[in-house]
Amino acid sequence: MKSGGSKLDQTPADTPPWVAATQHERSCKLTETAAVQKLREAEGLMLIGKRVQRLDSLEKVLGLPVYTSDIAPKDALRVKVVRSTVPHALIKRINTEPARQMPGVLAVLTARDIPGINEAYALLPDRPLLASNKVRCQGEAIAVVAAQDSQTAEEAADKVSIEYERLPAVTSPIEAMKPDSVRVHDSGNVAKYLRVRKGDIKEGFVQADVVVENTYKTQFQDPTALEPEVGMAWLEKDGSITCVGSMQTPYYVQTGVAKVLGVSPDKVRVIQATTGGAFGPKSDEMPVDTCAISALVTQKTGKPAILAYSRRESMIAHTKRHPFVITLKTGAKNDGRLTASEALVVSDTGAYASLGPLVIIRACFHATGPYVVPHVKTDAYCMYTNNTMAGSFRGFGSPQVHFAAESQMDELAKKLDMDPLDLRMTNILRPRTLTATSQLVDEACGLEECAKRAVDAANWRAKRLELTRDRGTFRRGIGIAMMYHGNSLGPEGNDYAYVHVLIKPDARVVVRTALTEYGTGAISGLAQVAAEALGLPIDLFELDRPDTASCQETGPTVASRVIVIGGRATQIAAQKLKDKLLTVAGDLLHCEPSKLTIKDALVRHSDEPRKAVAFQKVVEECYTRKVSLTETGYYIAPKCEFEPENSQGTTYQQYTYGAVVAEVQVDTELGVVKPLRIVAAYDVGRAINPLSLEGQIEGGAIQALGYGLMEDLIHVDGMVANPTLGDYYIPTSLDIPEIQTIIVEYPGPIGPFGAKAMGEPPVDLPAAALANAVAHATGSRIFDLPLTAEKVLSAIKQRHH
Amino acid sequence: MDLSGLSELRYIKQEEGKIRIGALTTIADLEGQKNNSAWGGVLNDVTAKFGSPNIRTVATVGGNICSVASSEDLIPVFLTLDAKVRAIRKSGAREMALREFLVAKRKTALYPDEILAEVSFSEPGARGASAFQKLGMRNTLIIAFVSVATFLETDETRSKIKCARIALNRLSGKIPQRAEGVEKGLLGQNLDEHTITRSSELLGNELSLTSDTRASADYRCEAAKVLLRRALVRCHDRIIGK
Amino acid sequence: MNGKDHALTVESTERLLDVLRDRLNLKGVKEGCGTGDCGVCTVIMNDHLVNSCLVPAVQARNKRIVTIEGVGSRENLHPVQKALMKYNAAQCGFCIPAVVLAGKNLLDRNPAPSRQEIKEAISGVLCRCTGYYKLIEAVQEAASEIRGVKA
Repeated sequence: MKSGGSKLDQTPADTPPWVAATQHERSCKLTETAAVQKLREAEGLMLIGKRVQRLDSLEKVLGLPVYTSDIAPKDALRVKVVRSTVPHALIKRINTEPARQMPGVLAVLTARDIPGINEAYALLPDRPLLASNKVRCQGEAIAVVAAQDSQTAEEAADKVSIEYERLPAVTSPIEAMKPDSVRVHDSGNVAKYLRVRKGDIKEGFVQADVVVENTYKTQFQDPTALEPEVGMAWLEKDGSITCVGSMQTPYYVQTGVAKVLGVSPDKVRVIQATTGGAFGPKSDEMPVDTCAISALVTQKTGKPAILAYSRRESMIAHTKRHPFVITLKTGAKNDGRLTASEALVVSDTGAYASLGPLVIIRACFHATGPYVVPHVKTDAYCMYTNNTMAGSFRGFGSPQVHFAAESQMDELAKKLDMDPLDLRMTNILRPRTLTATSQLVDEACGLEECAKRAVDAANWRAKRLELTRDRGTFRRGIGIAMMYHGNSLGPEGNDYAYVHVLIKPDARVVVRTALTEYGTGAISGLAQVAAEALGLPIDLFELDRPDTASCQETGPTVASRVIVIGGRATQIAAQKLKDKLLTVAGDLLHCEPSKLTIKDALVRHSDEPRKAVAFQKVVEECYTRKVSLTETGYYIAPKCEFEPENSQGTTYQQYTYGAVVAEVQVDTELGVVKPLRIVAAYDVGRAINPLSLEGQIEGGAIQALGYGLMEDLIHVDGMVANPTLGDYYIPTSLDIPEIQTIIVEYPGPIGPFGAKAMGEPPVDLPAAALANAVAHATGSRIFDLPLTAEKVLSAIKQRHH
Repeated sequence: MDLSGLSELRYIKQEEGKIRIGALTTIADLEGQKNNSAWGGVLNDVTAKFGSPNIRTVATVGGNICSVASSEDLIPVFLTLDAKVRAIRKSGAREMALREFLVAKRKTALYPDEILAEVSFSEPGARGASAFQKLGMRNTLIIAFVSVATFLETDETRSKIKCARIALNRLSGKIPQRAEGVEKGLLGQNLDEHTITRSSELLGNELSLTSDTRASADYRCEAAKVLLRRALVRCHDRIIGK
Repeated sequence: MNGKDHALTVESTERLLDVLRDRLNLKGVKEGCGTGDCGVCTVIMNDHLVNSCLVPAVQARNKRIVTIEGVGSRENLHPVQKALMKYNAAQCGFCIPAVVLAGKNLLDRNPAPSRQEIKEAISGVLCRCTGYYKLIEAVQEAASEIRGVKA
């Protein structure tokens, strides 16, 4: 591989010429050049690929009251939850009397007060809303107190006493696999098992010249959204209930609340308030908990109720990133070609499965890393323990397996005496190769280009040599990691979306959907797609709050699917509207609608430019004629067809690819790792909004930096030891390295304009790249995250003994 | 009881060879003293890394000292400056060494009707310098695993150590202490690489730490030795540089 | 409070944060942790940044407080607010009021801060969405605007 050259040496077939021509431009700079603008105009695009301002920034910079706690009714009761203080026990007695007696307390509820079904689970029916006879982890909700003010509610909650009969607890997923282990659930400790079988693993190792085997471990990572969980409820005049909360998926909350209240879902309206960060856990159990508990109080008292978690409560109770134990055995030929990958992938999902069974699927499928491996044997287990719950968290299994796979590649490179980049380039997935699940990689595979651009920008070759010459206390290192990330739900479920686009009489356009944003800017992205389709300027657009009363059920907002799946639905809705508008405009201009285009809010005849009418006028005419300007777009992705026993076939419709290079400086006396620089290159398919994309890449890099260097939600015998932000460390503004983001575009088959998922992929690699950089700097490998100073120092000392 | 209105307790005075700091002086106030050589240089090490700008506005010298735990940065610093504290009550005032004031974790020698009014120390001579080092999980807003404060003073030749005071956030107990073994080992020695290295070794003998979820005892010891050496090097550089 | 005097009777247990949100209905200041670790409760008190969750309400007597509601308006945004919008730097937005206040406070004192000084000024505010990069760029851009230099 040449170094220093940044030319494309090959344009894949079926790539539109504009993609090939603009890749270089787009990859080197993200500022709009005249050349890029010209190319976009040549394609006939106005907004796609442009650095467009989000539609929802103003309320945020002004600090308007838009978050759930800000808009709580003044007379709302304050709700406090009494939670288990032990990891595993039978509940012998719940004494709520002292709490009930307190003045100012309006309700004290336990499981027996639930009129509907006492269940609140994301996937497997394994979890009650309120525990009644058993608790399986610290922080399980047992009783609920509602009072006039927070202080009274807290004091009353303290007065509720629970008598436990403690049970032995299992706190390691490996222990949980043993036949004589403590059982977390009657059905056993395996929440999910699946496997990949490709080729013949025995044969694969026979063919190998070298074999490397290691076990890697990752930790609980807390999502640490700055807004802790909160939900509230009130009664409407007709007796129905409205819930407002911090959440990712309003319809999950509607279903969950209705079930608990014992009413039909149409009696429960759910609105997502502006949500202060989510990252996955707010699509699992917590928003159902906060809203259902508030709704129970409302149902019982007739008054509005709000349940806002304290930070400590949030960190104990909500779902976190799954810790994994991954044993990899990898075989390769002397020239670097991989022949075999055998993996045992075990996750700790805590006391309740949440979305653990889906996280393990993604982890299982991606366990080899983005490489061509002819013989693959992966066994993946999602295990119950008595630790607190793990569930959805940005990356969804991918960061964990890539830490393992990418560390392993470097270990293999060391054994083969090959540059880690060269080993990877020998094996990476390219068009027309097969993944571990034997899916044929299509032309929309930009991994090679991501790698080339990243190493180019990071000056890989030179640094790889130069940094090893560091002497003295401070040693630098450079490491690389690469990934692939199957888009959207893949095998996880029906992958569909509904998006409504409507035009108001004043010609402003509203995008309305139950898909949500909580920082991603994804819904503004949908507006951008709609604006492009309709030929309108973006400042005509506005967003509504996701509301079950006005938005069709649309599947969850997870898996970075808003742009990919929601974007397609948006295009469909916008096209329907456009057809209607042009029909009416054709009438007004006495011409064929097919001759008309909309651009800059003007409907114009393509051959006779003077035949034109203002968009505003056409809208008015539509209203006069009672032509409905509300349209709904529905899109469902093709189903992924694969054979489930050995996971062979099409597991995802498209993949995002990426390569990250990290440079660090290690203080070899203290073990402290200082990140110097991150270069991140991603094949995003099509950048709808490069500015928002940068925000995701940068934010994801720092969230992953925390995962790699400093974050660890420590459980000791099932109890969270550091549930505070003073003792659980996320990166501050003084911890960030330099960063360079590179966007590569190989349009995929299903997203609008070829867009790929980019909400999650930015967290997949930085920890792995940092681990490889630290290994380069110190000459020794650390097999578990986070790379604390203590571990690094220990690894350095071991090497010198 | 809210003391914050007692503006008469918020001051930094330098008179008669002493620096006197009112208990309600904030860390932000201390930042203004960074270039005052009477502190020996340590403020350059301590204020910028103390909490965050938001914390420095409200955190006070008195509050930090009276908290008496192993996470308070100013306690080791004032111990090495051989600070005295002044406690006042309706019936009068009394002074004592800071060392005596710190009784146990979260316990001071204050009587129930007393408040801490002032911390003071004598200005070091021309050949005195102080330094501070701490280590935590990230670059700001941390509970330190280890922190070390040092004060060294040499003779006129700037080579022989005539005064050495070393304090760590934890030595063998739960509260900050002076490392007297290390101090004895430094006295009369030449201020050079060899002496500094040796004091790290001496520290190892005095340290008796425990492990917790943040760090193990072994690591704390290793880190303490490294931080001690770096703080002593800084003192050395500050003395030579004067 | 944002230029206007208020007289209130408060409980000894109330924090400045509670007075702002619950009594004065200023919802722009947020509670993220209650322990002074996250900074989303930041306000400016007598020209300095403070975590309002750590200030007992009684200690705010006779002090000048500035909250986000006192910075800029729809028609007349502060340069920091404008720049944050330009860079799409407000993602989930929960830390943004605190960042605006920290940025404004810095630029009021120092209209030509270095990147490092900007990082230090906002170091008391945690952000989980942006990685801080665009927050820093926005403050830099605001500084340029305030100094009248073309961006």
